[in-house]
Amino acid sequence: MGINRRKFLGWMGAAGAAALSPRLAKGSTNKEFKGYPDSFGVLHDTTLCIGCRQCEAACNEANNLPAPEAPFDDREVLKNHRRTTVQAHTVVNRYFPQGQDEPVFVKTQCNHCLEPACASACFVKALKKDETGAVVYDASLCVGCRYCMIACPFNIPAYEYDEPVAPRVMKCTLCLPRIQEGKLPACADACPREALVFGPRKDLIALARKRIQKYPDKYVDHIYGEHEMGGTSWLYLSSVPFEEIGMREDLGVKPAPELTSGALSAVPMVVGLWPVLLTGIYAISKRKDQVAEEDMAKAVERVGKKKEEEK
Amino acid sequence: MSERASSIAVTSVVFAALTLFWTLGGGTRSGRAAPLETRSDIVFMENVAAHGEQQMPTVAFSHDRHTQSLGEAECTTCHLEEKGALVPEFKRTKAQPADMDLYHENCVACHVTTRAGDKPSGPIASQCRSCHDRRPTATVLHESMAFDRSLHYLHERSPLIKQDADNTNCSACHHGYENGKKTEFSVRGKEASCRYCHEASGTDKAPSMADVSHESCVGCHQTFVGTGEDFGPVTCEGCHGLDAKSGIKTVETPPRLDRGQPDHALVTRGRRDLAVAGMDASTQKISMDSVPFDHKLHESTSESCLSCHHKSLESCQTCHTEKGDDRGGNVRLSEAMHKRKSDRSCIGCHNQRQKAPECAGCHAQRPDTAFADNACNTCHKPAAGTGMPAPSHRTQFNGEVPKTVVIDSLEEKYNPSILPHAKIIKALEEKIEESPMAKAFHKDEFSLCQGCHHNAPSSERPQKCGSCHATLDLAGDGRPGLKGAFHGQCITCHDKMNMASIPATDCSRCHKEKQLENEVQ
Amino acid sequence: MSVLKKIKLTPFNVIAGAILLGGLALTVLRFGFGLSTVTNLDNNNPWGLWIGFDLLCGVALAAGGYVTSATCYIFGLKRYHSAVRPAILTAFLGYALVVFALNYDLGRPWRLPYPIFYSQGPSSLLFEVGLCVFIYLNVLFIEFSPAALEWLGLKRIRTVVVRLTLILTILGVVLSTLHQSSLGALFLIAPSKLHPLWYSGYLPVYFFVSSIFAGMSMVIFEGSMAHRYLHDRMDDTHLAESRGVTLGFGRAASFVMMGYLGIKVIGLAIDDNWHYLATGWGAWFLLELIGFVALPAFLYALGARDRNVKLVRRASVLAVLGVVLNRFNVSLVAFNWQLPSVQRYFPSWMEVATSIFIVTLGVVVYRFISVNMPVLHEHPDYKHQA
Repeated sequence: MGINRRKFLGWMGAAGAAALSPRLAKGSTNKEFKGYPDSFGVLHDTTLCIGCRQCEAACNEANNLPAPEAPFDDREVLKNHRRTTVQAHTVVNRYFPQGQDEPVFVKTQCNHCLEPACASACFVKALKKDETGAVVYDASLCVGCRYCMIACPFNIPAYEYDEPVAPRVMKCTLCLPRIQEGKLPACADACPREALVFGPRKDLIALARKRIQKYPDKYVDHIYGEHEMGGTSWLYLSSVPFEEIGMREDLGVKPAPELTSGALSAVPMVVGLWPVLLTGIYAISKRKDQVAEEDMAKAVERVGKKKEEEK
Repeated sequence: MSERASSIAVTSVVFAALTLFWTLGGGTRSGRAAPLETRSDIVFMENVAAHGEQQMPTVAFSHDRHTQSLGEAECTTCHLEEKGALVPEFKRTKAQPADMDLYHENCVACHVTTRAGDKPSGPIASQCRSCHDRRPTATVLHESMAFDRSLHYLHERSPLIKQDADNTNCSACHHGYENGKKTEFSVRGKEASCRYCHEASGTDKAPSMADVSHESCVGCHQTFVGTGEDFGPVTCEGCHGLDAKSGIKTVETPPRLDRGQPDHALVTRGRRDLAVAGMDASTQKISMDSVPFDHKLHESTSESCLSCHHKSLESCQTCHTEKGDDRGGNVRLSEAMHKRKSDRSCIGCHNQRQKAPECAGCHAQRPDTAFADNACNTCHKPAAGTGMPAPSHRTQFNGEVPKTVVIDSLEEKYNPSILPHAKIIKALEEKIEESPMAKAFHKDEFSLCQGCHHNAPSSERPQKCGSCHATLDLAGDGRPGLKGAFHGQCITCHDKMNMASIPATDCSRCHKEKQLENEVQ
Repeated sequence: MSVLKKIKLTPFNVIAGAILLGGLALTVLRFGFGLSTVTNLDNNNPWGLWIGFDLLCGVALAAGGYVTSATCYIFGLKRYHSAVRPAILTAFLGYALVVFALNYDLGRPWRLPYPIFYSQGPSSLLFEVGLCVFIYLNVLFIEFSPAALEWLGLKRIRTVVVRLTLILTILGVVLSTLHQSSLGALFLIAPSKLHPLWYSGYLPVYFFVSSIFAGMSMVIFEGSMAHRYLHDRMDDTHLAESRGVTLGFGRAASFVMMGYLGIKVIGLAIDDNWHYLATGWGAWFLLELIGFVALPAFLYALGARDRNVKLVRRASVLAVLGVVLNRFNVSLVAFNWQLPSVQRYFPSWMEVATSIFIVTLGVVVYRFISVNMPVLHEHPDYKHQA
């Protein structure tokens, strides 16, 4: 609705071109991966959110999830703080920041990190960062180790613990199937206030900056997700410090893969040097034994000779 | 050997366990207890002697509790009198140094006697920590006491206060100061605010505002205790309590303070007015027109003179000159009038007023940096030498306005929404009529329309919302799409105007869900 | 059937049998109805006791294999030779059980070979752990096979395998270095969830170094167990050398633990985490470090100096508990420390029971092998051979 089809196809073309261009090799160089250049994201302006839960309803429908216990227009559920679950890939929470009468509503879902912790943690590549910006999950590869859930700094992935045969990790897909059809993500499409704006991430950052500049008293001067954990595809604006609306500001700006790259880079060195070192130690201890043996033999010989001489 | 080792092991484990217990235990103790009572009468008795590490915690003394339990007894039970006035310090003159024994002996002695009399009493000598308690006993909250126009008027007219020769009672409070002595203030019209001399903290010249107000105001009220007259508060709670405002008598529309101030003034004398006054405009560097300022009107809409004036009550230009002056803190006149962040400047104060629910519906959505193109001449206009233009009224829009507007451009899941266009205009017009400020600033016949039809050229037939708001202009100026614009406009306005009866989350209040309607049929 | 008849109704057999039966029932529950019926795991706490104990502690405590074989074959300290086989057996069983236990925790255990053979995710430390454990399990199998081959009387193959000893040992040390440290490195990705006192860039080093003394302590501990319960299976060489092994490993473990203590303090200093020591978490951290590292290290040193085998054995229990405590702290206690207490994880009794079941399984198999195969004694045919 917010974006017409022609513009959309233009974006898709750009993203396609990006996909074809060779990716930067990542290693211990000073090269920096700044995300796919034309990837998409969503800007969530929490100052506009009215907590109507239309996004939750749309998400539920788009992903064919089971109907929840309480209907989506039941605002009583906002009394409790909720997290994403197997049945709800997005939830809206209500916060009462200090010194403010009006509540702030914040929508939570997968933030689709530029360099996702979950994808870097997955040992079967069941989670991948798509060129569109979506972090997608392939259930056909998943072993069910749940290391992605350990790794996610936002506590997003949920797991089908009830499922004995083929449990899956469940999380927001950024509505990749809809995006590929040329539609908006269901939540962004449903939002009556345009509190969710879908578009190229760089344009969203520009838009967020514009809003902050235009209403300096309304917003805190921070776009959450621009740099957090190396940047996320979802971006947030707020009128109060993000810490007060349940968003951690202590995550740092280091992308997740960088946290483990040091440990991983030590592996080849151990493989290469340990055998050399250990063989060396072995050789030395062996040689020592030999010398000791020879000395012993000589000593025995000497003693024998002495005895002979004495005779 | 083994025994020694085992004993070491046991000791270490016990030590570790104790550490853990102590640390965790310490953590829980700092947990929050029941909410504390809010009191405004707490006086902190700073420790008089420094005892270093052994210093006892400061005593939080509840003044009202003590006056209450003293009942009829005189203030002199605790306070000395000096030159006919009570000394705020406990049982000593100002000159006398504070002394620990003075407090210990007098407080405890009184507690002991009241205790014997079976009355509620305070701690005695053996209960050190009952007074010297580190834990807060109450949330201390001193509401600042504003001596507003209404109170000023009540004091001005009070028959209880000593009259001057000219039948006013100004001199009861206003006074001068010469050669170390209070003098009677006799020049009418030159009275200044108390703060002119009595600053927040005492100076060599004058004691602090807090000291003099307790001494003079409470001192005066005190003289009427028991007379049955209608007089002001004598307790801490009476002025500084949370509900103090409701307990103090007010006058709805107090008459002007008579200090010889002008009814209206030219804040700046503009080029055209200079010419009218026969002055040579070319010698002045002023390019803007004058701002005729309705002083009288602003008096009635502000709390006190200090809402705009600093302590001296002089005219703005005296200190805030065109080029800035030391006396005005180098704040130029234009800055002093236009500063957004100040609550004294014209624009700062007007912006604050716009946050009131009746204004915020339209104004909250406009960036406060935004000025209409012709905004300057709302204030800057030639006064034509008379000092003040005749009060102008709002030009009502006389054309036809649609009674309702059907919003169906986004119709998909919901039926069209029917906007009660005329009703909204009428409601807004009524709100404007109630406020002189709103009337002054909405003179143009289309200015009201701008609340919703913002950024559109003022005209009888503003263009449709969709002509600017098609889709969210992501690459451009970021203006919202049609859905965002409609909902933003309606919901924000309802929200800011406290129209809780139309909750934003109740979609069907504005447009019925299609399926829902079918079911009903 | 004939095997079953041979089993006597000793108290050990009865209890072990009961636990194994219970474990079987839990296995049915777990695979029939899913993780949620058996575990207290949830979306915020995806890893519980089965990872914290079965995987992390299992691998750490099975480190005796590479430590002992390296001591004997690489450092050439032949007087520890009699400790190698039991240590290798424990290691092999330990790793086998770790993999076995993983099947309970994984959502789709039959895909366990996926990361190695089907879809590799080399950016994951879990991939490295998986690959190393997989290879090391094979290495351990080959390293242990001489015992089985001697039992089965397959002399020729045994000779071939024995010739590979040095290569296998080096491979074992390399692989152990990698995956022991990587288990710690698993948590590097979650700095926002692990308490700063336990999170450190040196986590892999901590895990590796602590695995060394964990391995040594386990060898000492198992030695004392074997002495008590399998005395009749031990030959004179084993009995004679066992005292030296205990004291020697005690001394070495004390030394390594002191080093470990040092690098833990360096870690504190580098991240400037001193102020956390004044909190409840700090007390818990100090309890781990002082009560379960410094104290056993001291007792080890004392025991080694006074040649007090009993004390060294007691210290080994404390040291083993210390490693378990450390792994619990990193994976369970200090993990998700910022969550409100209602959202924290505590294992269900069924999780605990499953872990007990798996440990019991290990003990039973160990007993079977050490009773039947030449582990605690040398096969008469191969005496005085390397």
